Amino acid sequence: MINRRGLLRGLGLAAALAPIPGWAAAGDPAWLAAAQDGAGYSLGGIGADGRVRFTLPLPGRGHAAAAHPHRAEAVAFARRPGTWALVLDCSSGRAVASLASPLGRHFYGHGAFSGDGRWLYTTENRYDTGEGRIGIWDAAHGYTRVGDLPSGGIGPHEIRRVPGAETLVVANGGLRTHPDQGRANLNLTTMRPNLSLIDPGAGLVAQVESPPEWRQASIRHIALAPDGTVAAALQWEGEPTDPAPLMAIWRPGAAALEFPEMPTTLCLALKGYAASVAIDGGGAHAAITGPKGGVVVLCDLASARMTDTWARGDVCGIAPALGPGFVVSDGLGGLTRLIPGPGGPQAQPLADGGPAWDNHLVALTQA
Amino acid sequence: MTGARRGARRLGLWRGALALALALAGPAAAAEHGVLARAALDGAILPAADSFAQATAGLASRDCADPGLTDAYHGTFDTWMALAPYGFGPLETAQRAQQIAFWPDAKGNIDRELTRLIAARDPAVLAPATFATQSIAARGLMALERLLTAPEPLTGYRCALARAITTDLARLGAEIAADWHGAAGAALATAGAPGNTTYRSPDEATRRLLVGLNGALEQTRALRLERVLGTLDRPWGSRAEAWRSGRSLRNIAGILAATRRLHETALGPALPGEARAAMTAALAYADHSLAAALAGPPLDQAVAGPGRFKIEVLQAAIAALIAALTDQVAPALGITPGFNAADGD
Repeated sequence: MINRRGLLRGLGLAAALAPIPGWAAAGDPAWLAAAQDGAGYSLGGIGADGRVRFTLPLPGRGHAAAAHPHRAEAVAFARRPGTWALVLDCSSGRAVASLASPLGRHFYGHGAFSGDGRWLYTTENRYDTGEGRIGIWDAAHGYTRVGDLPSGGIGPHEIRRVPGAETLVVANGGLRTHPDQGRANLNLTTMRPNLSLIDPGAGLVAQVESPPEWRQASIRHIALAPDGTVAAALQWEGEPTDPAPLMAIWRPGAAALEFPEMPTTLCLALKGYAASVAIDGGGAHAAITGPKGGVVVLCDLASARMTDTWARGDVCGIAPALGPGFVVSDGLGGLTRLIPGPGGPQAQPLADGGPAWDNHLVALTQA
Repeated sequence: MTGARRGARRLGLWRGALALALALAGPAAAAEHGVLARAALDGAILPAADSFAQATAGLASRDCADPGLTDAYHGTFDTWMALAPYGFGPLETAQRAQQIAFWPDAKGNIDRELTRLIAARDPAVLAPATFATQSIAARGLMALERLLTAPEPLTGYRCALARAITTDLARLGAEIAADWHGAAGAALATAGAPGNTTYRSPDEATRRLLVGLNGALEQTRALRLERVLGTLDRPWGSRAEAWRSGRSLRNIAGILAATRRLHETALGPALPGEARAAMTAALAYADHSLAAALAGPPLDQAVAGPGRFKIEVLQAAIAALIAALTDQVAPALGITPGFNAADGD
């Protein structure tokens, strides 16, 4: 279980969403996202107004990125099962460092920085044993590899740092894969995903597993509220027509996950696949994106109840906006501000005609 | 893949490329999408919304003792199936589609909510404004079906509850029709116009229509049929939609009729000959398979008896219809799956 006191200690420091001073040199982007434009792949920096501040080329298809908390430096990760990550100086456009996963490992496409920006943590697959690991890299010394930790499960995917604390939350998706078999899942009948809280100095602090009935719902992506509440986006690996949950909520100290109820028809429309998740700056709403159904699903976080859906083709990336609500990106090149409200969500187009925005939108926040 | 199919696919791709080229060229393709959206609105959506509004208003005017009540329920359900494929915009608002037809009910919420209300016998809950905030499981056509097919007579509180449900349905019918005749219809018909924040480019209206129709057909294939078929050893008749009122296959007929309507009024005229013919043929085969199934026992019984094969054929026919829509119709209209919809991580 979560050590409530340990977790809450750091939470008082959690800051509101605001631009990070060190990023002014890169045009003050509010979000980062991997993209595809024509045949080329890139990492884009997006301003609060939806305008693209910079576009930096990537050697292959990216997935998520980690933003340095002080410097205009971003780590762009290859899409799973990639073995590269590129550290980019977003003000000059130069590559500062290039990370290669150690022999016998690959990345999952996500990473997170420590609060002071000294350490970079990466989710990795040690594929001879299938064990999930968290790689540790020293950002003060050219991103040299300094060690690793167990992730607490199989298939660690997204990793986030608890706002204002050093504790890491890892979504162990539960799926064993081996690069020799591409992206095929090798343990569908035994998989058991979990959320793990990891103290980089002390190891596993707490863990919660999915209940047996939903053990085939892979916990892949996570978002954190200022109070440490975790919202997770799930990917259903069971029978496509079963009414499986696509979102889970974990409150600090809780013994079990909560699953907001969603209509079976909606889960079917989303093809059992939630791609990204975000919690708004105020911590009142959580949202998942379903690109296969072209739908964003909004939930009230306190009651864990679904409130609305919002349709948008190929919608996929989502992050908190600087003010109320969310910003969502789509593969059709659009960016939209989405603000939940009692009369349904209000959608304000921010930009159209951009590149095909890939899986995730990463908010640059001070925390 | 057969040569003919490969050829058709190649042609579809070519046509898709042409549509894309036209989109880049500007007004021509924009006008094509605009014509399609306008035709869908005038020829299919508004008539369906009006019929549903009229049917629900008529249903709400009937007393519990009215011998025509059950027929009015069936008539209303028929109009709902014609509207259900347009599950975006006004039907997405406040989860109206779920408010109208809460199904599937995997956890038995309808029975639980109705039992709770009937046990409490609180008349205040049935006031329209209050009832509209009750659990969606206790409202809509599926809750009404329980009351109409229950062994208990439709009198006393049960009657009052049924009247509250029909009044609530009439409210939803009026709201949806008003929305489609108002801002929602205007947005669809002017996709891509400056200031249109719902459909930001002309093809977005076409995309939304195709996604909606595809969703209704996929629901039919997977939830209305596959889950009911279960396995040969374990068919699952009680998963059939509205089996208590014996209209599981009639609902599938409604979805197919709605598909035909959209094809004949809006999609077909915008399609090149080959894609139009493929959709027409897939529809004819689905109708033919449905007629064979309708000649047998009701769906919930057919899956467990000698009629099972006809249900499997119907399911395959709907899968073929979905394939025609996604592999031929959509590319021919320049609509391809997005970057993120195509795969996942």
